[in-house]
Order: sequence, then C-alpha cells, then structure tokens
Amino acid sequence: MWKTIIRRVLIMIPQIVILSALVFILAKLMPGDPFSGTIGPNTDPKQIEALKRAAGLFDPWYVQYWHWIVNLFHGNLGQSYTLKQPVVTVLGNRIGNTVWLSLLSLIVSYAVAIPLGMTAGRFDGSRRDRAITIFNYFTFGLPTFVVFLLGLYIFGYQLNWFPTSGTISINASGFFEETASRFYHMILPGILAGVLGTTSTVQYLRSEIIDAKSQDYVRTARSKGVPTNKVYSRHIFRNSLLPIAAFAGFQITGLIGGSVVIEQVFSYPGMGQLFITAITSRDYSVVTAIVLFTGILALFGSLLSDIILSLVDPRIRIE
Amino acid sequence: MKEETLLSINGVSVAFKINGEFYTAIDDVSLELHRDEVLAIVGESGSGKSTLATTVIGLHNMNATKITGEINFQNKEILELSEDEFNDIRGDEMGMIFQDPLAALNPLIRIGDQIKESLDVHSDMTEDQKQARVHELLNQVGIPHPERVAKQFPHQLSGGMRQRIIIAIAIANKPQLIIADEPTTALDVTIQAQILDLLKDIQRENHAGIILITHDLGVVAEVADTVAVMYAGEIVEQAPVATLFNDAKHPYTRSLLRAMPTIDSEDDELYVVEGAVPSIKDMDRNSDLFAPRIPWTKPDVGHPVLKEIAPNHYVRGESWREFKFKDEL
Repeated sequence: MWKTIIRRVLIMIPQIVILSALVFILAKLMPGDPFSGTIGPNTDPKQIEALKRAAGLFDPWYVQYWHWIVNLFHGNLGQSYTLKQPVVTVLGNRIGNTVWLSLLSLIVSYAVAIPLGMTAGRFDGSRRDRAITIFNYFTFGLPTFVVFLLGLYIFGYQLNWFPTSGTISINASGFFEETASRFYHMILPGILAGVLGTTSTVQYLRSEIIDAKSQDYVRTARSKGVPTNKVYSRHIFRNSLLPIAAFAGFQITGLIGGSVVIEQVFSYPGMGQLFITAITSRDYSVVTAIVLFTGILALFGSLLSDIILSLVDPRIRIE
Repeated sequence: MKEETLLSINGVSVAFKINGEFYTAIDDVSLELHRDEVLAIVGESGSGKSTLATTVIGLHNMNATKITGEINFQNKEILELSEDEFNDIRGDEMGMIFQDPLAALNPLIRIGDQIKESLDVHSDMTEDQKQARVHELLNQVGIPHPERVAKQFPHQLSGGMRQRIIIAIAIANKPQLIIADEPTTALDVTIQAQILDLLKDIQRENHAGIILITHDLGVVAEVADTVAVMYAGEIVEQAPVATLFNDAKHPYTRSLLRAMPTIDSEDDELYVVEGAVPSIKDMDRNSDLFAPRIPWTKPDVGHPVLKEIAPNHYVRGESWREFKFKDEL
C-alpha cells in the first residue's frame, strides 16, 4: 500500500514538471509584461529596457523557466503586482478560508445526497423517488449564481439570519468567538453550495442501487434469510457507494481549488475570488501560481481517489 | 419404500408483470420431493426451471409477480408466509446454491463473513462457535486452509473454490431442502464431478431433499432419482431416472436425449432441436406448445394434459404415441 502511494507520488514529479512548463509558457504568451502598467508615458525607453534586462526578460525562455523553477522550489512564487505582497503570502491568507468553506459544503453535500440517493434507489418508481428526481432537476438546472443571489437576498438581507459578506465579524475577539464567527459566516454559502452540489451524487447513487438490487450476490444474501433492511445496509449500499468513493478525491481537491461563483457572490475572500480578481487586474504572478496550484491539486485528487477506492474495494487493493 | 414427503408443489402458476400485463411463466406445476431424494428439473433456457426454484425459496420480486397454487414445505404453506416468517426458513430449513459463483458472492465481504452471515441470522451461537462452524463448513466443502480462505475475498479464489463457498453458505444451517440451480454449469468437468459428490455427501448427512436444476443430462444421470422435464413453463414428462433414460415418451424429452452427445455415437453431426423456447409474451397456453418445433408431427388439439401412463411416469398429451424423428419417417 505505502509502496504504491510512494510510487504514485514519484510518477507525479514528471507530471508536475510538464504542468509547470505549460503554465509558464502560457503565462509568457499573455500580452504585456509586469512593467507595462507601472511606467509613465515619459519614462525613457532605455530605462525600461534596463529594468526588463534586470528582471531577466531578455534571457532565453529556458533560462527564465529555470529561474522560475528554482524560485518555485524555494517557495518563492514571485510578487503580486497589484497587492504588492509575495504571492505565497497572498495565497496563504486565502487558502484557509476556502478549505473550511469547501469542507463544510462537501459535508452538507454528502449529508443531503446520500440519504436522498439511497431512498430514491431503494424505492425507485415510488412517489418519494419522483420527488427526489424533481429536486434533482432543480439543483441541476438552476444557475448557481441565481440560487446564491436569491439565498443571499432572502436569508441575508430580508430575514437577517446570516451575514452577507466576509469571513469573520470585526468585533470578534478571542479564539472561541473568532471560530464561531467564521463558522457563522460560512453557513449560508456552505449550505447553498452543498445542496447544489448534490445532483451527480444522488443520481449516481440511485442508479447504482437500482443496479445492485438485481445483482446475484444480493439474491444470495436474501437466500440466507437476511432481513431486507440488512440486505440494503450490508450488501446494496456498500457496493453502491464505490463510484461515489472513487469520485470523492476529485471532489475534495476540486472544491479546494475554490468555487469562483460562490466566493464572488458572498464576497468571501477565498481562492476563487482571488483568481477572478487576479485575472481582471492582470496580476500574472498570482494567476500562474493558482493555475499551478490547482493543477497539482488535481493530480493529488486522482491519487486520493485511488487510495480511497483501494480502501473500500478489496479487488483494487494494492499489495 | 418412500421416505416422508418434504416438499409438495400443488398446481403452482407464476406470472410476471411486463409493461403492466401479466404473462404466465410457470403453468400449473405439481411436484413432490422426499427426504434423501434428488429431483432433477431439466429443460432448455427459458423453460421456467429457475423460475420454479426461485418461487420455492420465495425470492421473486412480489411487486411484479403473481403466484397461485400451494407449496407445502414441512407442513407449512410457504406461499402464505409473511416476508419475516419466510426469512426464518430461508437459509435455515432451505438453502439455495446459485450458478454463477463469482457474481453470487459479494465482492466486498470476506469469505468467512459471508458464510457467517447465515449463522448470524439463524443461530444463537457465540462468535467463537460461529468461527469454528465456518472453518468446519469450509473443511467440509473441501477447501484447504480454511482459516486462511475465510479471511480472503471472492476474487482471490478460483471458480471451483467459489462454487464450494456458495455450497458452504447454502448448507451452513443444515437445511432439509437444498435447491441447486445449475451448480456445475460454470465449472470444468473434473470439478463438476467433485461438486456433485460433495452434494451427495451433504445430502446423506442431513437426509435432505435436493432439487437440482440443470440442462446437463449427464449430471442428471449421475445423481438424480426423479426427473421432471420442463418446457415453456410446464412439466412435459416426469419419471424415475432409469425410466426416463430408457423409456422416454414425450417428443421433447426424446429430442433432448438424442441431442446429448455419446461416446459411441455413429453420427458425425449432433442432433439439434430446431427453433427455441417461445418468449413468454407469445406463448399460446391453449395449444400444444412443443408442436411448432416438430412440425412434421400432428399436434395435440387444445392444451394437452399430464397423464400417468405407468406408475410414477407422467407424460403430457397424446401426440407422443405417434411421434417419430424426422429421419425415421
């Protein structure tokens, strides 16, 4: 098991190198350079050239790439042009917010989707099943920003149940109060994002359960005289959760990458919002850093999925 | 000298709901099974033999199935039992052996736990006793190193081993009735013989009755006492095994026997029964159902009935009296 994980991590190294090269080339292909915005019209072109030369912009691309990589390994992702802070610091401030928010929405999502999918699958064709299918159409069909805005308007502005922006109240002090305030700020976006994220899980689980019901091993279990509820809990649900488990790794890392829409609507300072701001203000160093970061996350997501699957399915257990 | 009756099936019909309409899959079947007896039910795919077995052990989806008639098992009318009452019998007094040994085991659960589940439901043994019983069962079905195999998962075993596991599950609580649905179909011939011997041994030990469902007449000749031949959901001939092999009457039985390859056969080509069992949607229950497959023979008028033509030898209809194979005409 550990050997396989280590091997998979080693395989990731060339993947990350290729990814970083791609990200670097894309960044270089973007029009403009870090100095175009900071120089006045009267600046001597010779001075600009000297600045560019000093920043290494006239070096061949592989030399530039090498410098970038060496800096990367030193944890130096460069300087944010608009925030005038090291990129690492900027990301560090945001990542915690996103991790907690996505964790909450992931928990909400599974807590809602798994019971719904199980009910729909077990009683397929029933009234309950049809109601769940209709719910699914809504979560799938409604544009996310519409739901977020509506939620924000109703629960935030009209009912005043939840704060409408930010991650923490300015009055909060002390560990306990701060934590409570952070949680309070996460509840509305977390629940809304979680509920909207249930569609595929419900649908997958439903069809997996319907499929599992007619499997031979279920018949075997029933032939032993196992009561129906136990047949479901022990034989059907467990097998039906496999594809969900296989997908969980991607889901987790995908969420950490940040949800652009929800963070934008709720003015929640996380990775997603940072990404949008960085793009609109041409903050290239931040953009490349985030793209690289999400790329690496995706690689880890697939590893995580494989690990989760090998834990729940003995056929995939790796010796 | 007949042993006591274990199971009697009286006029059982089974219909499945397809697109809102019921179609008859089993039509008025009556059978008896005694202790120490092996009753073989033979027929092609689609003849209803598995459906009948599934009815006896009550595993049909009752939302889409209509069952009429009576099934008496150890003085209990089992068609009248509630699901809970049936669960008490299933896996305890009757056990079922399924055909596809890979699909019939849960891929996520250890072998030992899958066998133990039968004991969990029906016995009040302690965990240690259950553990010991699981090892004993594995031993009995001829699995070497029971302690190790009990901790393994189904995919780690060979087909023959998995079939033995299925048998171990079915016999865990020493059932009086064992229903074996094509227990040897997925196995090669040497393993087949071992599995059949094993079934016989288990039967002797518990004085159980066995319903053996198969389309392999070689298997029937080897282990069966009585044979019922099914076609299109009804019994067309029923007889003690020796009678059936030596003095088969019904055209279908004779065709099946003739289609069986023998070592001293002079023909180069195997006999083939033309056509196939009709789908249950296009069966005309008011006709001689096998007649379309032997068009050169004059069919029975209306729906032929099962008659006892000699002691314990039942044949359906009258057309068999005239029946000759095409090349004998």
